[in-house]
Amino acid sequence: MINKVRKTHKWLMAFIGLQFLIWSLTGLYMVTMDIHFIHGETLIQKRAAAPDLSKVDYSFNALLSDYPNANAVRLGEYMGTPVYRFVDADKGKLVIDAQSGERLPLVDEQTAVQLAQRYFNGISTVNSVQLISEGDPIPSELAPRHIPVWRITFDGMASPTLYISQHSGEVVTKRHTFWRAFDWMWRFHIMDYDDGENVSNWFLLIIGMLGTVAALSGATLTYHRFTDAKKERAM
Amino acid sequence: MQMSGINKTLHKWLSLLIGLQLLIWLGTGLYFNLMDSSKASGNGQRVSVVHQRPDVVQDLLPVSAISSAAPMRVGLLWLFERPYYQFIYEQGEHSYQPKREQLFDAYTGEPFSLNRMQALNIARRSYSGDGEFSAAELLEPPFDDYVQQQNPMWRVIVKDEFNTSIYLDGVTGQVLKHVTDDVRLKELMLKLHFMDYGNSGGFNHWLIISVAIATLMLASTGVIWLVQQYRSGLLSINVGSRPRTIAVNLQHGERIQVQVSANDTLLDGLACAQLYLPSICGGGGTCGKCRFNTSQQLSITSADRERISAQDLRAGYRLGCQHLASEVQDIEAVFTPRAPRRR
Ligand code: FES
Repeated sequence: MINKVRKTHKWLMAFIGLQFLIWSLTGLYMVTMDIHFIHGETLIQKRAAAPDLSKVDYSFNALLSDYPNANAVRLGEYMGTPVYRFVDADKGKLVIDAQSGERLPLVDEQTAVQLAQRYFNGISTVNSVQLISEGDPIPSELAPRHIPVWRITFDGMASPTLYISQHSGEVVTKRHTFWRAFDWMWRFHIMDYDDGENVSNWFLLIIGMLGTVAALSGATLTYHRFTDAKKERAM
Repeated sequence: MQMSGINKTLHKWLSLLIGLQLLIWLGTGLYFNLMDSSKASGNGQRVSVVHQRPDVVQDLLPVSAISSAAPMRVGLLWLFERPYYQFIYEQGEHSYQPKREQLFDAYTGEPFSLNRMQALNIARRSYSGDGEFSAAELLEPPFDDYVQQQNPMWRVIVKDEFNTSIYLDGVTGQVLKHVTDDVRLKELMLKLHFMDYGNSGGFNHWLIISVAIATLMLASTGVIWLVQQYRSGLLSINVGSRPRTIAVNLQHGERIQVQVSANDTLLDGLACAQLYLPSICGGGGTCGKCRFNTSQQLSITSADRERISAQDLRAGYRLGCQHLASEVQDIEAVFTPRAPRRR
């Protein structure tokens, strides 16, 4: 009986034991790396600058009469000026100067770099600047709804990258090597090797079930080992 | 003790220590694989709440007229056809992180807080089923149904078959979550998978880190064990090999011929022929009971070396569970093989 169990454990693990090693390695990475660090929260200086409300000459009132279909209006700050950011049902994402009421132009390269340096937590030089707009290939780490964006990469071993919306001048997402590595760990953990979005894949199901049988047989062996050793000593 | 012995001992003790959590990981992992994610989202009865705004909006106070500390940001939102300024003073990356904010009536400039009736009204509008609603309550964290949330929330309990609870943002009344029994089950599974027995709401805590390290050691010692088995020739399958006959000399002088399968270990092969070498560990190479003797020159496996003295090894003693039946032709059973033990 115990022989069968031992064989089951041995042969199943001979085939899928490597996945157990992968599960424990990737799991260990994911639990030891602080998730807020992984999500790049330390790449950004905490405090966004506050808008100076006394400078707001173009009021919410005026905004609503000029853009009656404005949704999700937020009054914030952009390069020292108070600005409104909102989504217009017809015109899309807009940024309006809250002093003059003028629409702000799309963020140009020079401003994008300046913004990135202001947002970035730390001292590092900008390594590369790239505009990603409609029609360009979109890196998988960027959600398509954010384009057009400036992709700004800093020097440094984790190659920190900020994505700055060309519309709003805000950081829409960020990445660094540890986050990218985390995504790969996740893919290997759930055995979905393309985009890591499908936990319900067949491969995981089959290996997971075989793995459960293998682990249960291992548990039986452990139980047998520790109870029989006791009996032996008693004899 | 030799390296391979330490490896096996470690493997066993680690499995004793963390085996249960390993099984929990596998079980909950399979649950995530198989669960119905639309049910587990809790959004089965949820509809989005649209706050109507009046056709004509006039005479909003300028934001500078609101008496308040300087905000980081000001939003404009509509509740019951009335505009409110949302002054945000402090906010984390995620909405569940602690934040400070206040609503002001955009017509009068008065600070505004939702009341129970309004919260209940919003909750009702977010729900498409036909359950019975309890009164809305404004509650402080922590929340069993939403462990990560660190801000106050309104809760409305609905009596329906799913035991729905509706949670709204404590300040803005925004619908945050519909929690059903399916959601609670999923949260429980997540808690088990993340070993979040201290309700930290996350998976970056010392308990899971130490168990993860132990698990990595359990897996590595297992892999090393397999490599040792492979080296000892115990992980090979001879496809289509014919059964062979070996001669077994029993202790009282009797000599018998036994048919064994070439793929079995000697211990298993003899057992098939009702000849039972003694064994406590059941073929694990750890008890050292399954000795036999042969005059053939057999290789010495790592388990042989551990369990048998150098002198006995030279004299031809080996462990029956560590050698394939195909390796031997003529052996001597050291102990009288016993009859099958029935348990
Ligand atoms: S059966 Fe225990 S060592 Fe062979």
